[in-house]
Amino acid sequence: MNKNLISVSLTKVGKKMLETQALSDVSLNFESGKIHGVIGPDGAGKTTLIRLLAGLLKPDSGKIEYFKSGNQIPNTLIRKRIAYLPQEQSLYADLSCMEHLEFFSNIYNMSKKDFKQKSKKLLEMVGLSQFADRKAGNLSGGMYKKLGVICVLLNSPDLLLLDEPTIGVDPLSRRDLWNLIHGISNEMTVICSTSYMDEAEKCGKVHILNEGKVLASDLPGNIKKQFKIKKIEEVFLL
Amino acid sequence: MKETLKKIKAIALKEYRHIMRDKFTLAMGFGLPLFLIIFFGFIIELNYDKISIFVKDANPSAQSRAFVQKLSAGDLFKPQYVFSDDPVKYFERNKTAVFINIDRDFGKTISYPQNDKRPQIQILLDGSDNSKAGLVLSYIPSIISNTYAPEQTYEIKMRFIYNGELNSKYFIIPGLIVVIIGLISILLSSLTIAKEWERGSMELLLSTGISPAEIILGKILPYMVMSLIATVVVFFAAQIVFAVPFTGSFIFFFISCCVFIAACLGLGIFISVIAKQQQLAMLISMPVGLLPSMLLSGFVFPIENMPLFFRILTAVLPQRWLMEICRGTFLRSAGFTDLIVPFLALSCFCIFIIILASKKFKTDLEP
Repeated sequence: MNKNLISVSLTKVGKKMLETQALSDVSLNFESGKIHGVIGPDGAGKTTLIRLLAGLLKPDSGKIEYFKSGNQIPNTLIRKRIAYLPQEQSLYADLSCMEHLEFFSNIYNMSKKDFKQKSKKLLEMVGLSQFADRKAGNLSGGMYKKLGVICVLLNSPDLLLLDEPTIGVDPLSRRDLWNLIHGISNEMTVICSTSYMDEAEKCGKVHILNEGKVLASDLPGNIKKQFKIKKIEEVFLL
Repeated sequence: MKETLKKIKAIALKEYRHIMRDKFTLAMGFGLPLFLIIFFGFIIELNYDKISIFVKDANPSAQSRAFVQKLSAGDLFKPQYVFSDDPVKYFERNKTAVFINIDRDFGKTISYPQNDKRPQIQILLDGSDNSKAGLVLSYIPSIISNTYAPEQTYEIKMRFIYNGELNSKYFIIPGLIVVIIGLISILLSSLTIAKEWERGSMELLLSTGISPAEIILGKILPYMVMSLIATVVVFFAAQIVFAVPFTGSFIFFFISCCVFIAACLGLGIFISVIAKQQQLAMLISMPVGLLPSMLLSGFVFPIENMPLFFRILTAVLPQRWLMEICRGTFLRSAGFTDLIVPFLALSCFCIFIIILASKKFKTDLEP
């Protein structure tokens, strides 16, 4: 556990979205410096959880606390240290990759020098250098997601929240995206939701949600031992 | 044929369900026509009523009083005595459109005509409002002739302070500038926030911690430049194509346009913030952008003829205030001091609507 990175603690968090109880009594610990997988089928409450962590929703009950180096950080200050990529397409189809990076660097108030260095590094890291001038609307599904990730990574966040980044992406691009996530995981805490159960194996810690409740929260190997199963998805068959 | 009818029926049923479940469409379909007929039934009044006339009677006499009394007999005119010798001051501040100067010797000369001197009435008219000027032009001489006996001769001197030719273009074109710029500004900006919500980019944008004011002002700026370019184009078109003279301060006019555009863009963004959908934002911004400009700004229908409620309502419309500034600066050489009230009203609306849009802006995804 890297104490300089952000850890998050949820205590008995409940959230109702209109008539649906999206989360009930959710208590979880997201230790710093790990890749956390929030796994569950559609409607399990993954997106609500990620949005709560991003500060875009407020819990109806319970509390969410953020810690850095053992000290609690006020929720008002945490937003600037979090990077969040929503599940839905959220980039501008008519802007190029470079224009996106430029836009987000300005939102993050980065200097031009910093922007040049970081954007070059990030584009190279995800293999988009040669597509820098291509419009987001003309990118493939995998490239589009990669662009989204590097846009939010520009700010060098302490906590990266990814809501189903691999959904609708071909297997090769999925592998690339996970390589990217593994590549940056020593620099930040990563919380990634997914409905692909096989992706649980790629996470340092897995938090399984179903119908707004926590089914399990542990290392993938421990969960398999605990439920005496060979694959994580078998949790839902028990 | 049977198959086609079945498909049409299925589509019709689906649409019926959409409509019955969409309160906005229901309100648009049933409520709006009723609202419009009631609303505009009050507003559209082409008859003038109680036109303000300022009378300067240098030496009040029974004869001059008889004339002023005749003026106030019907509902058409509302005369009031003033003592200033400077009628232009009243015109510039848009206090009245008619100023009557009654000669010092009027009473004496109309009772005892002298060969070398006939009683004189000078009528000064604000030609920048040509419909009102035309009406006064046709009515007042007949009122005077009805007041005095045929043998009592007098002399009427008519003078137009502005727009002596009563060219209707001089009246319409400055007003059209307001209508066009207002509509464009509201339409342009009303889609911006809704577009962000619709394409999902707002969620990403909000997660960066950017403030509503930053988003709103950032959105306003490029449209501000676009609208200002449109203003300059329309301004020169008015000068070159329609030859409308511009007699006031261009700097004041331009600054007022900047404030007006910011106000309209703020209004558009407010619509966008509320609507969150492009189609809905467009549906709201069309009537909000067009109808008040055409009907409630004084562009066609005089505000002073509207019922009290609508006169008060026009006070919250930026179009009404720029209309006054436009006509004042184009035709009446009015400056900042003469048009301070419309300018301040415009500025207040601008600040108010931008603050309101910022306050209404949702910074989270709560349902």
